[in-house]
Amino acid sequence: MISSILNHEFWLSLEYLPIAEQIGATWLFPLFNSLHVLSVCFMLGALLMLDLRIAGVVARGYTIKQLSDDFLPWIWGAFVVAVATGTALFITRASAHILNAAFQWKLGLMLLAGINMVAFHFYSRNMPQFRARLSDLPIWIRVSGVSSLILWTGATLAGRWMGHIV
Amino acid sequence: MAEWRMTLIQTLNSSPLRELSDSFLRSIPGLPPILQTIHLLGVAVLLGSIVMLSLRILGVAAKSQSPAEMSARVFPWFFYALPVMLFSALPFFLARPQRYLVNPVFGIKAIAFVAGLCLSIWMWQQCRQIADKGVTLTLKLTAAVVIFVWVLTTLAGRWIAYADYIFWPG
Repeated sequence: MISSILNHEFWLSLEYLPIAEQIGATWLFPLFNSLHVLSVCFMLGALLMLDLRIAGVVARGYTIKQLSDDFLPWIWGAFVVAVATGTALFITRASAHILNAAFQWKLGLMLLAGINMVAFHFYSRNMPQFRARLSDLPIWIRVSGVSSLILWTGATLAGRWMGHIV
Repeated sequence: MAEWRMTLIQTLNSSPLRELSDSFLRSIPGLPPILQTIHLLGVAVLLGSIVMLSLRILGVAAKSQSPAEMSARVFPWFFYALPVMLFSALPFFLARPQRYLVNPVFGIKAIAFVAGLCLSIWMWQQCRQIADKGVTLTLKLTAAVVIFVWVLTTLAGRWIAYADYIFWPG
């Protein structure tokens, strides 16, 4: 089942899209690649500031709510740019990337980071500690802040590793 | 090409550091992407601290945080990230100095980096006076240039590998 999806000719057909050929054959590829790196790093940096507060390590003079309001729009904005540029890079060699173990790890780790994020929101948003200064969330929710950083670091490492498996 | 650059490349290539860096990078499978990721995490800290602070000074981000307090809190992150970025990059530079020293994109990155470093430290000094002077126009202009210079440094970093594309005929 999974093997037939991964080997489906759909991935190859993406590479023959005029836009994919245009990106792959011009300076658009390095442009999108560098914008991908920039947006991923900016997202990670903003996420670091927020996740370390969630973990109760830094900026405890601010409420988690304040820092979420401050950083989430930038995190999501950077994420959207990263996905758009990442897709543009992906379609130039889709059939190879989809079989690349590092790319599969990357998607898997991003999925776990997404699940972690949804679980965090679901369990923590109504907690009074969310809106109080110098407050710490229960330890298992603070662990999810650290987990988020570990998962995203892993996704970044897997993304960088892709280029080393050709 | 400038004479000093050739001399530097020859000196580096004939020094034991080249051999050492080269065998270090090959010693553990996957070490190059691991070091590159550490370098990228340093970039993430830099963008999340200094660039985010600059956006705060410009009044577009992180409005619940005071610029003076934020600057005192995030600058140490920047200073800790610098040696991490330096040492995660150094083995690559020493293993193949000619790849970088004759590359015009590396030159752009080096100039942008030094400018970013100086301007960031100057911005840090200005931030210490916010309590007295408030966010001045000079500080705002510095913040805008700081963002530009660090973004340029990051983009140029990736473009080092693509220097040939700049003159791509398509």
